[in-house]
Amino acid sequence: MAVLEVKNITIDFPGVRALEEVSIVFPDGKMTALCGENGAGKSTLGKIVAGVHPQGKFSGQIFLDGEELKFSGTRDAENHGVVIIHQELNLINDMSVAENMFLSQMPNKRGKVDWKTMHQMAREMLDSLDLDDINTHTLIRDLTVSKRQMVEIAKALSKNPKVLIFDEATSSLSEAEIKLLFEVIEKLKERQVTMIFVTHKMDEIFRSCDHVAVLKDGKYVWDRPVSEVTQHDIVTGMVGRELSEMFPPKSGKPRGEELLSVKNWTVYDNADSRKVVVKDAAFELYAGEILGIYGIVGAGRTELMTSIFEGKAIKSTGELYLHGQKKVIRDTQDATKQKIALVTEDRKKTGLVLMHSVRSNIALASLNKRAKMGKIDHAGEAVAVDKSIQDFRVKVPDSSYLVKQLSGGNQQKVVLAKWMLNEPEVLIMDEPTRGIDVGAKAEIYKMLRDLADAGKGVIVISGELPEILGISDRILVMCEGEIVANLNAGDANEVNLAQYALGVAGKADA
Amino acid sequence: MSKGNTLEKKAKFNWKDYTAAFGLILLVIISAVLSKTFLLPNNLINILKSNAPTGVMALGMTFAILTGGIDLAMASILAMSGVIVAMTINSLGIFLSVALALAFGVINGLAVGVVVTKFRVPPFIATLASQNIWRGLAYVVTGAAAKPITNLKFNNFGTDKLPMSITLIILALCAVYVVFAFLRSEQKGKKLFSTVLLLLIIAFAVWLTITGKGMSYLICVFVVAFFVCWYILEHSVYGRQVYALGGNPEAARFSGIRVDRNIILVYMISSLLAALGGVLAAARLGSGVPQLNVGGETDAIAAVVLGGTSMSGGSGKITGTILGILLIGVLNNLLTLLGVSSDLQMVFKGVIVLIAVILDTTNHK
Ligand SMILES: Nc1ncnc2c1ncn2[C@@H]1O[C@H](COP(=O)(O)OP(=O)(O)OP(=O)(O)O)[C@@H](O)[C@H]1O
Ligand SMILES: [Mg+2]
Repeated sequence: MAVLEVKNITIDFPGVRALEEVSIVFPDGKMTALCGENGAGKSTLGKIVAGVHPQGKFSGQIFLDGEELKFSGTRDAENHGVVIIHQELNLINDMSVAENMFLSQMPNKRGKVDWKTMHQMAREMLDSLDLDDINTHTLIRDLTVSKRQMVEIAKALSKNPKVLIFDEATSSLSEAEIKLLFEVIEKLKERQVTMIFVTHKMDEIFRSCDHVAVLKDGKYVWDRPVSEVTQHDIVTGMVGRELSEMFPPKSGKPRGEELLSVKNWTVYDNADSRKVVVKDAAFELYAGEILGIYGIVGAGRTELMTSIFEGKAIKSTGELYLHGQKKVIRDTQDATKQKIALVTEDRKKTGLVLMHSVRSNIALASLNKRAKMGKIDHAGEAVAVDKSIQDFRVKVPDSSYLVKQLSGGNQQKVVLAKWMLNEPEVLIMDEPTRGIDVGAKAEIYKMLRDLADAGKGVIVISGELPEILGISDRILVMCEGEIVANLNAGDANEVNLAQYALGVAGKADA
Repeated sequence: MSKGNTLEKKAKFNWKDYTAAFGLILLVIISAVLSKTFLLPNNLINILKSNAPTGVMALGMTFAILTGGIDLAMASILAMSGVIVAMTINSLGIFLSVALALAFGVINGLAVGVVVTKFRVPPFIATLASQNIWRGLAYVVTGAAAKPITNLKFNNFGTDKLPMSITLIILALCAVYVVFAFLRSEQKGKKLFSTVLLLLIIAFAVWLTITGKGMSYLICVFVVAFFVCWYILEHSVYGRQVYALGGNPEAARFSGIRVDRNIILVYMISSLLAALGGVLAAARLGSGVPQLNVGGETDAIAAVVLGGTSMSGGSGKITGTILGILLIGVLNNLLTLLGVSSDLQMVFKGVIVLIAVILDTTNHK
């Protein structure tokens, strides 16, 4: 039994009031979805409940079973059974899975770490999550992003929480893993764990949440049982206005010339140069189209696209053509000069300089474009950056704000804005809408469509079927490093895409 | 992070951005109170002159530290460069021998940069190796004895001054520019402080020029080197890329930046500036001294850190480095005037750097 209640929570950051007088009761043993636009204050609320923002940094009260909680830090919160799974991964790359899981409470015998028990406990925890393929001795850096996320979840569960907060925990998980997570969540509900589930994916709310609370601009909007609301209610509550169509209509214009193509394109693993991760790929991208790339995690989609952009930094063989002419791309600068842009899937690692301002980040990929003889055009940059902050509706007081101070979704918008400023002809985006709210998603889809209509070529890698189907003119499906299907949008549906992605029925999904 | 007022505009004046400036002012006041001779123009000029070589070194160190690296070889390169000048000036003449010393710096930087980027040797190790190599070679080629320089023209450069009239004209032009820049600026409130500060500095320079009847060439070279570095870091695409790759090299690379090439350039710059420092020191001393400035890289590092540059890279300002070098220079001078032994001076410096770093980390929370 654990009823969690927050009362009159207010918190200020320099230049922004992130939460204002928010009061919500989270019913016990249930999972409450916490919804809101990017920067609405969801993560901040979660962090307050979990002691990340300690007592004194905010005003208001938190009650668990009627008893007021005053946490001095996360450790204190965990001792009271309140645990958070953060939006951004918080694992130590050079430590093993087991060490990461028990970092704050290593099993020990009079101060000496009891490695055997630790690995045993980690093993049991992972097994209970059906993660038998993760070795407890493996270093975090050797795991895929989705596996890391699963470790993060296992780590949280090992703390035996009474209150558990998921902050966009599913954004990097594969469909299979999400299903697994929801099974675990059902078990937790039976154990009367109270859960808060932050997500931008509407279907997840209806799949597994019991209650839903909506925030807008740091203020409480409403909270109701899920059974009493529709998706439309939630979206209207979040956005504060009626939302038009999610996906812009496809233009139907005939596609233009060939912009980019590869033939016999084989890519090798970065760590182990004998291992093939993409085999004999061949595809074309035409002006005016949005090409969707679908596949499950590990199908080689990211590797295929980064190998084009990174040039010789990645071992690959085959031919590449730009505008029908054979080219060799040497490195990322070369690719950028050829007007290719790549929005990577991991914004924290490869997308952003977190410690720098929004302005430096947005300007970074297009510095040379605006510069005269190597001199930065400060005035032109300020104008361009402010315009893209508006276009993408990045929620930030001004462009000197540091990127690390932005909410996750707003950080993602900064990455997108950075590349748009360089006016690419070939825009490759790897999971571009990860962490982005529904309203902003619709706007980004429209932007992509406008780009395509203006004669550019857009490639969207996504693991989300509705997104792939909604946005693409043509869809490539990858499975185990090979392109296994090339479908026109009209011929694709959820069923055949999934079948191709899984290597047709029968094969287990990795 | 901060990249100069051109890029960062904070709504409010943040005194924490100026800790080094306040520290310097405080130290100057203390010095003036404790020592009667401190404020004499001659003494002040002396501080600037004797710190010019280390100052030039600290400018280069700022680049290295901004990338998250470090250049431990600078003091050795400084010594080696002075030795090169001393040993070649009679056969090559001033121009060629100075060019040779500078070229030596550039080539060493290129080598270090390649080792760091292509062979993935940490900068700490790569520059430590080069530190030993050049210090050792400086001893070997000189037989561990200072090589006097007999070229009078070169030695005079170390003591001569830029004529008063020319200096004053340049300073006047600077003042006019500063005022104009302020009037044209859109955020006057924010720029007011820095503009007043700049004008005060110019006024101070005018005073020094008039009382000293000119401005020491050594100081002039240092000032010019500073402006070049400042321009690169604040106004060039390259500078912005240095900050970015210091903050997150992978993100920089994925933004179309040639990270390796830029890092190589950084070590070429730091090495070149160390060699320039060596030329200045040789001119001041009138000889090439192989044991010159042993451990001097710590002063440079201290200046950079005192100036607010983060050791993990990606944030800091070159103007801060100037404050840092002045802080150290004034502190050394004060302790000397007070008759404190050089051994004890080291202790003081250590404590000051520690305080600065603690202040810095608490600021960045
Ligand atoms: N440490 C911080 N410093 C300054 N501002 C902050 C900080 N943390 C959050 N904010 C600001 O508070 C607001 C709410 O942020 P929060 O991360 O809670 O949003 P969110 O609802 O989780 O959004 P998203 O869906 O994008 O993850 C944002 O405007 C953000 O910029
Ligand atoms: Mg968030």
